Amino acid sequence: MRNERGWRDGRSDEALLGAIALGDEEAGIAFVRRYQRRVYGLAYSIVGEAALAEDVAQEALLRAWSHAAVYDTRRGSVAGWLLTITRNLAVDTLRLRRSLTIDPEAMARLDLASVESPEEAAETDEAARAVRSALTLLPPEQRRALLYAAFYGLTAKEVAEREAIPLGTAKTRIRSGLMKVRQALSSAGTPVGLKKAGEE
Amino acid sequence: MARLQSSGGCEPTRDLLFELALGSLNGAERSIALSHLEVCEACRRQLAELSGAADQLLLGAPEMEPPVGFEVRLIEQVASRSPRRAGDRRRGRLRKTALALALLAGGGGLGAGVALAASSSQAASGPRAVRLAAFRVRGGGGGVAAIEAGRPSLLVMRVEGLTGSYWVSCVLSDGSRLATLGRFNLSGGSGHWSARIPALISSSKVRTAELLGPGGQVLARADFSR
Repeated sequence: MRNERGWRDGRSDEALLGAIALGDEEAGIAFVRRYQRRVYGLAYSIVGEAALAEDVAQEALLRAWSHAAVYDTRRGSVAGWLLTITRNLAVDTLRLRRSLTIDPEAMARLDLASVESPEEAAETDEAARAVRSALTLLPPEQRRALLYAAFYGLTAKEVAEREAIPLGTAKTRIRSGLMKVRQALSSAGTPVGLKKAGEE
Repeated sequence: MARLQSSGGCEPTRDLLFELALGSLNGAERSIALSHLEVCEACRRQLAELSGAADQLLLGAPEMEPPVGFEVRLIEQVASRSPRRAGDRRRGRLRKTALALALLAGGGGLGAGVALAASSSQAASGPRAVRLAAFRVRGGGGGVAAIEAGRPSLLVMRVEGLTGSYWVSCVLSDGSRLATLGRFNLSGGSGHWSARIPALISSSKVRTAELLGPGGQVLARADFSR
């Protein structure tokens, strides 16, 4: 039996999408393998239910596969593009159910993702590590407000209601949180996106 | 456009850019922000920077292993959603076959077992149907099995999370069992394996493929009848 543990597709994200657009199905499968854990993890963090998370993750990857030809490299990283699709689908799914129920455990997992163990850190790529490190710089209440807005699509008004704080305070927390994260990522010189060819 | 800039300029919009970048701005405020962005290069630049940071935030979500069979179900959807022209059913089936084989091969080129399937495919006289089934091993590990109908018909398995020696057998639709289709050793935790289904047995009659441990105990069943 062939050992495939070390198997990697060395192409960059952009090259894989280009190949998918030309009908290269092995590129499609390589793309799915590269991102499925991240897409499913994000979907699960938001919807908090395995079956629903799988539906969301499948739909997100299908959309990326079928829209590979229209991906525009000037509009950000492939990872950011794919995860934004995933997040929007997950939030839409929750809103369609007419209740934006946020699983406290899922929220805690997101929060805790910023304080991972050294073992977990070793398995995480550079961009994710930088984000988690940037989030640890925020006071807990600011981090929570930012996570609510970024992951669950909550408006400042919804954050204010959920946290029982004035609207202005919610806006300030979201704004200050995002500014600090942006500055931290910028000063760390974090590359946008996941591993590229030769880095795996 | 000039009206928007003169009636408040950038200041009212600057506050909205954060929520816009995070994708959480709705209704009238979103409309106001978008109208202003049409005419303000500086705010567009700021939005682009904030959006970059907001996108990166999503990278911080914890990664999780999807359920067993996730890839198979995805590939089935890719095959079923591909655009079809009239009379293109044969091409669709072949595409599903190619996708399934690429999936089982690990997506990175065809291995020995699947190369056999590919060469047989060329010799076959018609399109070859592929049936897929996911399986999970109690206590950890799992994989995907595929039966490719043809001459010869093949059983292909992709296994993950296991180490050791395993046997594979099949149960037919009448309940009878093929004692052994083959044996494989797995040392690296994952890999794929294939075997010919005896010519006397119609591949359509194979109901389940069973993964057996060294003592003959059934560790997992891939059910093709579902």
